[in-house]
Amino acid sequence: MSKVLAVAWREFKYTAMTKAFIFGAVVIPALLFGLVAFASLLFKPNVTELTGTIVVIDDDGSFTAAAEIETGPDRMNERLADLFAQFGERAAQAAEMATPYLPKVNLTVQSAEPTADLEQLKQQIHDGEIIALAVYPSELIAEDNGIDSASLSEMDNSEEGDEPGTIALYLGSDLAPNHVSLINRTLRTAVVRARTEKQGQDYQELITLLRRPSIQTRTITPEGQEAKSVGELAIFVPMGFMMLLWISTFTSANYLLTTTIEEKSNKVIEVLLSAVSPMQLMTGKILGQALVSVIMLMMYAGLAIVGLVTFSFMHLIPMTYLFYMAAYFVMAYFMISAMMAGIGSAVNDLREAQSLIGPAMLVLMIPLMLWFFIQENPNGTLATVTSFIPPLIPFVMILRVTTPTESVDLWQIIVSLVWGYAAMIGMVWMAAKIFRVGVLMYGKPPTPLELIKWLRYS
Amino acid sequence: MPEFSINIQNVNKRFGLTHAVRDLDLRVPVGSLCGFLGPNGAGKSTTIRMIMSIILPDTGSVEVMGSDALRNKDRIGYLPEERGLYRKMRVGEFLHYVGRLKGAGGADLSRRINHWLERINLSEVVRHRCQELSKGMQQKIQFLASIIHDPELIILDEPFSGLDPVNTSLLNQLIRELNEQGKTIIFSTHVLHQAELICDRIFLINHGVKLLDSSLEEIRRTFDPKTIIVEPLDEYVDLSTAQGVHAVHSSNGQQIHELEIESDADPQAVMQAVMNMTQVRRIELRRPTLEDVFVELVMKDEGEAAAEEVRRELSHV
Repeated sequence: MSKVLAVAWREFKYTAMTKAFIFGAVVIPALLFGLVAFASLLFKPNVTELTGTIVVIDDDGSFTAAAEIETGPDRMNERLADLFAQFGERAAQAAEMATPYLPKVNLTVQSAEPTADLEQLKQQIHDGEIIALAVYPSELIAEDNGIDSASLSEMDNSEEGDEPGTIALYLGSDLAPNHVSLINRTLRTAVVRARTEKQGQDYQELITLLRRPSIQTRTITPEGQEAKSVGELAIFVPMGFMMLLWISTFTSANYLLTTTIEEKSNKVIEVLLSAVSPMQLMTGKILGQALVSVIMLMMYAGLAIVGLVTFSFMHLIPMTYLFYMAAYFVMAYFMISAMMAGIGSAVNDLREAQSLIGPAMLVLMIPLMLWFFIQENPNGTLATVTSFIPPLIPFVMILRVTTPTESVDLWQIIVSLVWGYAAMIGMVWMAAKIFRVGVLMYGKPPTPLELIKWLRYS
Repeated sequence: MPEFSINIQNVNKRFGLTHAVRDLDLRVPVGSLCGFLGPNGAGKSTTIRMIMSIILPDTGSVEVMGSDALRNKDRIGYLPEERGLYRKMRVGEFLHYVGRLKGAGGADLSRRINHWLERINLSEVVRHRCQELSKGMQQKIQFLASIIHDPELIILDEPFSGLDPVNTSLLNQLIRELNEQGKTIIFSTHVLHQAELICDRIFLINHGVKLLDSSLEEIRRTFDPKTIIVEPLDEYVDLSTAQGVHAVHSSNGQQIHELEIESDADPQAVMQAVMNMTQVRRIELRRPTLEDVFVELVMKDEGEAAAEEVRRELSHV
């Protein structure tokens, strides 16, 4: 056992305690940690208050009145409430979180006669005395909401050549883009408000009538119980878990492949085999890289947890998910590393390895390619069948069990674990057989058929 | 305690159509220093790999230290022909690692590493990475890796290949010392005179067949000398006419002649005949070298053409 541990420690040390690994697998995630943890600070925009006067030119002042209401603080709050209504019972929290990112508004709306001197007002914008000038054509509020021919020809002759029925807006060049869009929205909404009121309707009442309510979904599970439905963000949870499994197992299994090939190509393998058996060597190497894999998993999982806590989404990850993750991680790691150790032992260099890794990778890409379909229908035929095909088991199962909308039958979970671990042991056994023959084989790399033949060697 | 460290009986090994080792019997007495000789491709490394249980024989039995190499890994030191180092590992760490894998450890291992590095004049490289060493240095470190755990049986496959004369001589000395300490040592080489210098026992193998298995003393006794060195006072004398002389080889510009005697001739009688023909400054019966023995055995076994081929091969070394 001490020999296996010596191999494992060397494998770990020369993979994980290198500058390249520390930079790639520790420093970068750590930087991301920091980035996520301080995201609220880093991404907090420099929100400046929108202050100033907007001059509105309209015939009868109805637009001005509407614009005044629209820019008032009450309307701003109402709009926020509308915006976050979709978050259901978490709307208040969402609004609170979003508030720092929204510009504060302190606008004054002044009315001006249509006969006012446009040039002078433009000069005032230039001088910074006012921030915007909006010219409302009276047609905008006409009852048929159309434009009569007289006004059309008048418009055609207008100096600016504006389209009829369009608000002409003049702005200073120093306004922030979000301020411009806010002014735009407000002025356009004011038209709707003015029109409604002209028709003798209560705009506020209409808004209330038109407001679409939010939906609080409850899913009825096959057991007849109610399950709380989760938000749209939850669809990323299964993908997140599977990617975590993928990255952590494949990175270290890849290290296992390269270190095995390296030991073969630099001829140190025979020195090692004079001291340890091929089985001891392979076990040590797999265990050493397992530690590397766990570190990778911890780094990225930690990063994800920090992110979820920062943005208050931790409720998306129940504790059972973490249990499944641990169970399927062990299964996935040993399956993939057994494959890589077998392949690494059979070839002389990385180039040769590609021809054997290609088909293996194609199979293992299946969960990535089918992610969406499996998650959409976690109890469908595709998902169920792929859940019991050995190298895919952990990846497909983690997708299924972390999909919040549908639960997977317990018997399927148990069978996947029992069958998966049995298959894992089988794969490690096969890898050991191939490893024993392969590590001392030089020359032409074996074909997949020859690999199968090696399995029969005693 | 078995009498033999290695006992191979009737071993055969084929690789496809190649019969690498045929009906091989080999016994290495405990405490001996054995040379395992033969030209390239003779089957030496295959035999050594079978001794180490790295490959298994098709037929026959291989006994190492009373059982097999797998059960005695920690008691055996092995320097493979295909040897390497971890390029990024530091020398000291590499030796520690190999030592630990061989069951050694602790302060004793550290002490041994320092001692041996000093012995091969490489104390200063203990913290160097293996890739920073010259090829010769790497060879010496690989040798240390095979003996660092103080094994009882040491198997060295072509330990001298790639070494310069100074390091070859150092390695010779170390091998002799280890043998004097009671270690059984077997090493393969295709450089025959190398073995002649230090071995007390010789195995000769060609095309997978054992040609000779004997102590050096016995070989010298058994194989008659076939060459007489003569330095005549009369430089014009024709020694090829002396009775029993098969051929004369003369060095250019020197008065020293090598007389190759006929296979059935008595060397003493030929020497007498030469002295009767002319006065000599010096005349001596040259001891047969392993090369001579090897060529003779091949000739006996496979004929003149094969012997010529072996001679040519050995002269390239």
